[in-house]
Amino acid sequence: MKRLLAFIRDLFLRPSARIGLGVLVVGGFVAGAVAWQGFNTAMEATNEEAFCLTCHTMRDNLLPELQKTVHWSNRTGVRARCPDCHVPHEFTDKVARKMQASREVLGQLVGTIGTREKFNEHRIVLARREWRRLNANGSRECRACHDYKDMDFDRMRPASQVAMRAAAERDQSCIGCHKGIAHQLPDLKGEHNPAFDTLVSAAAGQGVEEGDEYYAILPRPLYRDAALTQPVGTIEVAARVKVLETQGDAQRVELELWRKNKGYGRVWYSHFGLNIVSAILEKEISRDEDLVTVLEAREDPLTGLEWQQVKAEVWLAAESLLDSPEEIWTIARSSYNESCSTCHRQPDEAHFDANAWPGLFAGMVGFTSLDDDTAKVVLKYLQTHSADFRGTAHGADPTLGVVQTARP
Amino acid sequence: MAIRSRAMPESRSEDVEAPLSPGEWATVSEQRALVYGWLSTLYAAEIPQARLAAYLAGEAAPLLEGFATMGLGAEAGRLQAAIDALREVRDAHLELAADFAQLFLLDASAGALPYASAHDAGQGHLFGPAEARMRAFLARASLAIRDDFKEPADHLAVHLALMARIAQEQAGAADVAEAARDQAAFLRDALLPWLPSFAARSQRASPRLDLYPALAALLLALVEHDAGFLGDVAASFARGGPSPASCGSPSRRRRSG
Amino acid sequence: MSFPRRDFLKGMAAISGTGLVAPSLLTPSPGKAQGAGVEMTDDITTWKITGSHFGAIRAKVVNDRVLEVQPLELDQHPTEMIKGIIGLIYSPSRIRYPMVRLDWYRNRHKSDTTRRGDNRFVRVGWDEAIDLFYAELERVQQEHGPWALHTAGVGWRSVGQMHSCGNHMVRAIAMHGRSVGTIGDYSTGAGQVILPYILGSTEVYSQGTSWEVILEQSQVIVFWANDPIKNLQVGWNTETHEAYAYYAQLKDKIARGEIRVISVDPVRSKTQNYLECEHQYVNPLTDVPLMLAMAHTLVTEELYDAEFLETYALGFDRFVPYLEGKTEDMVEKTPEWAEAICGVPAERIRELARLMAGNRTQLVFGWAVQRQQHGEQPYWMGAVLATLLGQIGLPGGGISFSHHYSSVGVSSSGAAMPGAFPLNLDPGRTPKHDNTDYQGYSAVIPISRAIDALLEPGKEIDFNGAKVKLPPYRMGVFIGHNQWHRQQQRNRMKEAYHRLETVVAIDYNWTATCRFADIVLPACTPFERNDLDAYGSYSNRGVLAMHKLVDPLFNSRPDFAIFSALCRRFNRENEYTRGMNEMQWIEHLYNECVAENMLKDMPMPPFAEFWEKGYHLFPEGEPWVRHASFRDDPEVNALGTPSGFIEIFSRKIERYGYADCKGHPIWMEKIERSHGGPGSDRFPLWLQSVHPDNRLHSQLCESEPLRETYAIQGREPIFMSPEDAAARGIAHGDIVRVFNDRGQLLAGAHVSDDFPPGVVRIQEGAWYGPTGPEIGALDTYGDPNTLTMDIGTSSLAQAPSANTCIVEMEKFVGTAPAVTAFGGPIEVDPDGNPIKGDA
Repeated sequence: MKRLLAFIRDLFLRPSARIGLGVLVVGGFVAGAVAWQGFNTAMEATNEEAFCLTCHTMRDNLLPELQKTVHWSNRTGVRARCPDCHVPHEFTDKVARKMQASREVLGQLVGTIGTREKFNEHRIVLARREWRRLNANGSRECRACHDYKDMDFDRMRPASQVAMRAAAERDQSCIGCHKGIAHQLPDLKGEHNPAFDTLVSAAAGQGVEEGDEYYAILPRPLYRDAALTQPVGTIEVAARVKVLETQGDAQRVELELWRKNKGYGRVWYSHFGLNIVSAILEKEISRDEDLVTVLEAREDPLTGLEWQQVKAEVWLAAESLLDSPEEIWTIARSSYNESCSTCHRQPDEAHFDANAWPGLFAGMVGFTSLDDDTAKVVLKYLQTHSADFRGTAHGADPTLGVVQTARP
Repeated sequence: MAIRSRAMPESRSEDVEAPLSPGEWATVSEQRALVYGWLSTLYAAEIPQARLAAYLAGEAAPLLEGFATMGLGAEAGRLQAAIDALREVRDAHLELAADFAQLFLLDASAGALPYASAHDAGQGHLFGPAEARMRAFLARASLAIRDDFKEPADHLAVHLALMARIAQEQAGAADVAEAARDQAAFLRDALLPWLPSFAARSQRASPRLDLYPALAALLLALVEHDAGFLGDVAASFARGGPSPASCGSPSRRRRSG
Repeated sequence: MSFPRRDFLKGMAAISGTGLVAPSLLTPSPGKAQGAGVEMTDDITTWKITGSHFGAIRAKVVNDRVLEVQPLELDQHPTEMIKGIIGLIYSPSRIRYPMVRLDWYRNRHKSDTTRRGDNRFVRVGWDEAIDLFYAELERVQQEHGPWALHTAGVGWRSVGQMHSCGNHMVRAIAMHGRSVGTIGDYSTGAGQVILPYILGSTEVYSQGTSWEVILEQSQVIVFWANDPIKNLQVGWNTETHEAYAYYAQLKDKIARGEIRVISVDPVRSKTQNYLECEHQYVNPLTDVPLMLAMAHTLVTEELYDAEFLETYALGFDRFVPYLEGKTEDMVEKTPEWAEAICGVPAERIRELARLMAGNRTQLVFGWAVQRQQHGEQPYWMGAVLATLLGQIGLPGGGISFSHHYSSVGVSSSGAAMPGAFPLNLDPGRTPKHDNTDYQGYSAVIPISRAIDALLEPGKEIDFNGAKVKLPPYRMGVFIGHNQWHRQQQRNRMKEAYHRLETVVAIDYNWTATCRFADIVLPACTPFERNDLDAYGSYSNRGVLAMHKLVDPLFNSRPDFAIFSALCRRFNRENEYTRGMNEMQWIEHLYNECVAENMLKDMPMPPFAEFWEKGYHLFPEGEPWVRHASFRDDPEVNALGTPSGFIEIFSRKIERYGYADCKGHPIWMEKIERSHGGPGSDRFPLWLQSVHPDNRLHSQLCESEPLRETYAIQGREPIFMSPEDAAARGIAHGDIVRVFNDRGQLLAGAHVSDDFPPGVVRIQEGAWYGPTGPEIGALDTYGDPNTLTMDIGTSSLAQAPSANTCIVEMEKFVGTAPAVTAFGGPIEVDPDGNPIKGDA
C-alpha cells in the first residue's frame, strides 16, 4: 500500500524525465482542448434535435404532435426545435439537465415507454416533470423567444389581451396557462380544473403562522392523527380554519363551525343558519364527543331547526391553505361567468341568498360541463357573495341580476 | 274594380292580314321591348324620387297615349289619372313606396305577391315548380339575374325583363313567324296563367293610392294584347298571305267579337 | 275581341326612348352553372344533415332548392312536424327586406303609435336600417337611460349553438349599453319559483328518473295534467325522440296488465289515447282540492310514511291542522268536500290515495297546470303528496315535473355538449354607455309583467320576497320569440304598445310581433346558415353538424351579421366577433367541446371529419334515480331548500306575508272558473290553451302545407265536446266566434269525444291576425291569447296565468273575414268566395 501511494505521488509530483515540458504542456493543452471540444461536441450533438429523435418514442409520439402546432409550422417559418424548450440555454443548467436526461435515456432503453400505450400512460409523469421544471424557472426557455416586454398586446385577439396583460403584470410563468402548447395534453382523467394548479403552487408557497386563520384551497381529507393515517372527514374549498401547530408535512387545525342537530349532524356549515358547507365528518366521528365539542345551541327561526355551534381539532396535510380566499374566488368567478351564460345571462351573485343558491345551482349545473370540484367552488363562491353577504338585495350593478333566460 | 280577362282570340282566316315586313317586325319588336322594360322597372323596385318627378312632368304621356291608341284607353287613362293624383300627395314617393311594400314586399294577406309560385293553387309556398322552370329557362338562355336583385326567378319583374330581352333579340329574326310563336308561347305558359290572379289581388288589396292597381290592370291588358298580336302575326304567315316583302298593305278593320 | 294590328303598330310607334326604363334585371352569363353544390341523388345518405327543434333531418337540395326533407336515420320516432320545414323556408310570410313602418320612418319616436299593425311599411337598405336601429339605441341611452330599453327575454329561438340569436342580441346590445331584462319564462314561471322552496331545485328543467327504472320498478304511474306523447315531439336542442321507445314499452306493459297508469286530466289526452291507460276526470283548475283530499285520506287512514317525514321533511305538523279544518278557511278537507269542487267522487278519491300509498308510485306532472292563477299551489301540493307517500328518491317512486320535456328520462351519456356564442361582454370590457342608473326602477322584471310595466309605470309589485318597480320602457327589441303569441290578453297589449316609442323586431317570418313593430329586420332561417348543436338536450346523445341547406333567401341575413353591423356603428365589431367568422366560431366551439370531453375520456374526431360525417355520438348513459342521493344521505346531499330538507311548510314564504301564497299549499278560488266557479254563469266554458300538437308554440304556424293538415276552414281548430256543440247548433267544420269580455276570435269547430262538457281547447301558438289595429278587433285566425287574462299567478312568482280563462262561443253566421294572420294562395274574398285565377 505504501508503495502504491508512493507510486501515485511520484506520478503526479515527480517531474517528467522523458517527455519534454513543452510537449506536456502543449499536449496537455491540446488534449484538454480536444476533450473540451469533444465534450462540447457531445454536448451539442445531444442538444441537436436529431439526437432527440433517434429514440423512436420521441420520433413517433412527440414529433407528430409538435408538427401540428404553431411552434412547428407557422406564417413566418420561425420554429422551435426540441432543445429550444427542453434544454436550458444557460450552460450550467444545461449540464444539470443532461444529468437528469440520462434517466430518460435509461427509460427508453429499459422500455418504460416502449409502446404508444405505455407512453400515453406515462405521459402525465413526463409532462408533470417538465411543468414543474418550467414552473420553477419561471418558464425561462419560453422567454428566450417570447418576452412580455416586447409583446404588442393591441394586436392580440380581444379576449387574449385581457389574459395576457394580466399575466404580464404578474410576470406569470407561461406554462401556467399554456400547457399543451406543443404536445398533446396528457389524459387528465380525474384531474381537477387545471386552473387550480395556480392555487396549488400558491399554497405551496404560503407561509403559515400558528394562531392565524387560513382558507382551504381545495377539498382535502382530515385526519385524527399527525401521521395522517386515520381519516375523519373532509374539509371543503375555502373553509376557514385556525392553524394550531405544524408538524412536518401536517398541520393541526381548529374548526369552529355550525351544524344542524338532526340525524348525524355531520355536515358542518360556516355560518349559523346558512347552508354553506365547510366540512363533512364521518358518521360515527361526528358523534364522537372526544373529538367534537358543542359550544352552544340555537333555533333557526327561518326553518325551526336547532343549530349547534361545534368545535373540533383535526390534522390536515400541509400546503393546503392560503391566507385569503380571493384567488379561489377569481377562478370561481370566471368559471361562473363562462359556464352559466350559454343560454341566459348569469344572475348577479347577490340576486339570491346563500340558502337559495344550492337549489338553483342544482337545477342548472347539469347543463354545464363543470367538473365536480369546480362546481363546488362555484357554488361556494355564489353563496359567499350572495345577498346574505352583500347587504343589499342586488349587487352594485343592478343589471347583473338579469336572468335573461333563453329557456322557454 | 273588376278585371275582365280578355280571352285569346281565335284567328279567322278572313280576318288575317298580310304578314309583317321584317322592318315592321324589327320596329315593333324594339318598341315592345321598351314597353316590357318599362313594366319590369315598375315591378322591380319602388319609383325613386327623381323618376317620380319625371312621371309628374309628363314623361309617361307618350307611352300612355300609345296604349290608348291601341284600344287600352280605359286602362291608360286610369293610370294617367293615378299619376296626376300624386301631385296632391305629400311625400308621394314615400306613400308609393309604402304601397309597393304593402302589395309586393309583405306577406300575401296584405297584398299581391308578385311570384308565379304564389298563385299556383296546387302548392302553398314560394320557390315552387314555376320558379324552377323559370330558372331553367334563364339558364338555357344563358342569362342570369343581377346579384343585387335578390328575388327568385319567378318574380314578375324577371318575366317582364325576359320578354323585353327576347323581343329585342328577336327583332332581327329571320323567321318572324317562329319568333312570334315562341314569344306568344312564353306569354301563354309563363305569365298568363297567373297574371289575372295577380291583377285581381292588386285591386283587392286597396292600397292608399291607385297607381299600382291601375298599373296591374294595364299590365294585364297589355300582355293580353301582345299575346293576341303575336298570335295574329304568326297566323298571318301560316296563311301564306302576301310576301313579307310587301309592307304597308292596308289592313281591314276587325269588328269586336 | 279584336286586336287591330294597325292600332297596335300605331300605338307602339309613339313609344320611343324614355328615361323611365331602368337597366335590365338580366345579364348574360354564358355557361353559368345553375346553382352550385353537390348533386344529390335519391340515395338519402348523400343528402345534407341539419337539426331542428322537431328532430334531426336530411334534406335533398338540388340546384339550390330544398326539395325534400326526411328524418335523420338515427331518429327512431320522427315527428310529422318536419314536413313543415320546406313550407317554413319558402313561406309566403318570409320577411324579405328590412322594413320600417312608414309613420315611424317620417316621425321616429314621435310616430302615431296607435297605427302600429296597419301594415304600412317602406323598404330600406341594410345600412339605413342598422343606422336607424343604432340611432334609436343612442337616443334612448342618452335621453332616458337603461331603464327605457327592454331587451325582451328570448324564447325558443332556433336551434344552433353558434347562431343562438338571443346571445347575439344580448351581447351586442350589452356592449352598447344596459337595459331592462327579464326573469322567469312563460313555460314554467310559477313552478321554477315555488319548487326551490319545497324540493330545493327548480325541478322543471331537471333530468328525471330513467325510464328503464320506472318501467321496471313502478307499479303505478300517474300522469297528472300531462301529455308527453304530444310534447315530446319537440326539444330544446335538436330532439332525438328517444323517450318514445319507452312509451311504446309502457303501452305494452299496460296491455299486459303489468302496471296501472292513470291520466288525471279533464280531457282524454293524446297520451291517454295512445297508451290506452285509465282516465281520471277532474274539473278544470281544481287539482288542489283533489290532492288535499287525497292527503286527508293518507293522514286519517295513517297511510302516510311517518318515518320518511321524520328523516327527510319539515313542516308536516303545521300543515295537518289545515287538512283538519282548524286553520284558514276552517273547513276539513275531506273527500266529500273535494268532490263538490273537483267533480271526483269521494270514494274514488280515497281509492286513489290508497292505491298510491300501497304501491310504488311515480307521479309525473305537466307544465300547463301551473300556468293558472295560483299556479304555485298545484305543484306545491303535488310535492306534499309525494312526500306523504314517502317514495321520493326510490327507483320508480317520487315526483317528476319534467318527463314530458326534451326526452327527460333518457339517461345522459355524461358527455359535455358544445357551448354557445358568448352572451356576455368579454372580461374587462364595459358598455359604451356605462350607465347603471335605473332611476329607482328595477333592472329585471318578471317576464310576463312586461305589459303591466307599460300600462302601470313605476308600479311596485311583490316578487319572490322582493319588490320590483316596473320601468316604463320606451324601446323594445324582440328576437328569438313571438311576443304577440306568448303574452296574454292581446287587446291589453295593443293598448300598452301605444306607449312604446320604438319597437325593433328580428325574425324570419311575418309574425304579429313583426307586424306591430317599427323596424323589422329579416333574419335568415337556421337552414340558411351553418351551425352545430347538441343532439339530445338531456341524453347528450351526440353533437350534430348543421349544414347550411341554401344561402339566405331574399335579403335576409344571419343574426351574427346583423349584430356585427350594429357593433360596427360604435367601432366594436372586432370585439363582438372576436375576429372569427361563422365557420371559425363553429370549429372553435367544437374544439372546446372536444377538450372537455377528453377530460371525460370520451374522444371525438377532428372537426373536419365530424363536419363531413354530420354527427358524432356518445355511448349510452347509466340509469339514474332522481333524489336518490338525497334519500341516501340527506345531510351530505341536502336539498337546496332553506333547511336542506323537504319543506311541506315554508317559513320563508310565510314570512313574505302574501295573501295569495302562504306558508303551505292552500286551495283558493280562482278569479274566474267554469263548472260552478265565479263567472261561469256568463261564460260557462273553460278555455285551455295547451302546447300545440302540430307546432312548436308559434313556430311552423306559417307553414301552409302543415296548417292544411289541421286547420278548419283555414282557421285554428277549437276542440269541443259533442254536447257543447249540439247545444249551440255547431257542427264539426263550422266557423265559430269565441268571446269573453277581453276579446273575440274566429276558429274552426273540431268536435271530439275526448272533450267533456264545459271544456274547449285552442292550442297556443296560433298566429294573431286581427281585422285591424283597433282594440277589440276580431282575430281572424284563432289566437287564444286574444281571450286570456294578463295577471300574475301570485305575488310569489308573478308568472303567466293563461289557463285561468272562461269563454262562450257561437256559430258564426254570415261571411267570415279573410284570415289576416298570414298569406297564401288559398283565401276568401270579402264575399266569402275562395280566390281563384280570375275574379
